Amino acid sequence: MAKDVVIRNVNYDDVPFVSIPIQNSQDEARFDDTSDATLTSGSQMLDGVTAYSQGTKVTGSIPTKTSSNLSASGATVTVPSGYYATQATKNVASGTATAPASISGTGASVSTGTNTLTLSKTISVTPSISTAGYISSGTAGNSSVSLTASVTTKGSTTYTPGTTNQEIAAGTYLTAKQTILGDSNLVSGNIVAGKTIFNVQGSAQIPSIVQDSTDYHLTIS
Amino acid sequence: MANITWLGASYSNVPWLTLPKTGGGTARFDDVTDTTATASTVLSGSSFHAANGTLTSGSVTFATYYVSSSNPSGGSNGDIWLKTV
Repeated sequence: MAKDVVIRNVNYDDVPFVSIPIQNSQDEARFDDTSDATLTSGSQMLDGVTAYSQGTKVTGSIPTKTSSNLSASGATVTVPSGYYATQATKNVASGTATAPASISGTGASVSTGTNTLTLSKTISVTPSISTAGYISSGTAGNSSVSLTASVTTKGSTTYTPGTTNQEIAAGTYLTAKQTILGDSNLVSGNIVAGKTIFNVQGSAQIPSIVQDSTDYHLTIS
Repeated sequence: MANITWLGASYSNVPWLTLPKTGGGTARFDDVTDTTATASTVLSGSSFHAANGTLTSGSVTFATYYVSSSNPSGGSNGDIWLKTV
C-alpha cells in the first residue's frame, strides 16, 4: 500500500515506504506502510514467528505438532489441531476377537460397540448320540451346535406275501416290528408238482381230466 | 528498530514513523526488518510484510481430519480420513 504524505509542507503521493539514513552509516533504514497486509491475528501464523500487518507486529500462535502428539485410546485416535510439517503416523494396537460362545450357521455377525466384527466360520460336527435310535430333531453333542436331521420311518406293518414283491425303501428307519406272514400250508404236498412257491417245489399230483368232444366222456389219467 | 538521522538529528531505536497525510490524519511506516515470518509459516489467505518490506502471501493450507467408518461427505484435497471398521 502507499500513502499520500506531507513532509515539510511538500506533498508526496503514493509513498509505499520511507528510507531514512542510518546514524553514522551510508545505509538507509526502511519504514514500510503495512496497512495493505491482511494478517490480523497470531492464529494465522505458526507459533513463534512474527510479521507486520496493518501497522501492528503480530506473533504467531499455531502450534507445531508431530507424530508424538497423536494419541490413541481404544477406538479413538486424537489428532490435536496444529501444523504438521511432515506426515504424522500413529500405530494402534491390533485387536483380537474371541469367537462367541454361540455361532449359528456360517457368517455370523458379532457387534462390539460402534464397530462390527464379522466372523465366517465353517464347523464340522459329529453328533454324539447317547442311546441307539434315530435323530428326528433336537440338540446333540456340543450344546452350542443345533442339529436338525430328517429320516423316513416306518411303523409296525404286517406283510402278506402275494404275487408281487413288497418293498421297504432304502434308508427307511423301522420304528416298530415288521411282520412277514408265513403259512403252514406252504408245503410241497400242497403245491402242484412242477410248480415252486417261495422255493418250495410242488409235489402234488393232480389228475388230468380231458372230456371228449364227441361223446363228452372224461379221460382221467 | 533503526537508529536514524533525520534533518540533522539522530534518533535511536525507531520502530516506526508517523507522517502527516495529505488532507489530514497520519500514516504509519514500520521498520519490518525483524520480521521472521515467511510464506510457509502463514496461513493461506493472509498477507504480511516480509523482512525486506515485500508484501507476501501465506501458503499454509488447512486440512480437515475425519474419523468415521464411511466415506465422509465433502472435504478437500489434503484432508485426512481415518477409517474405522
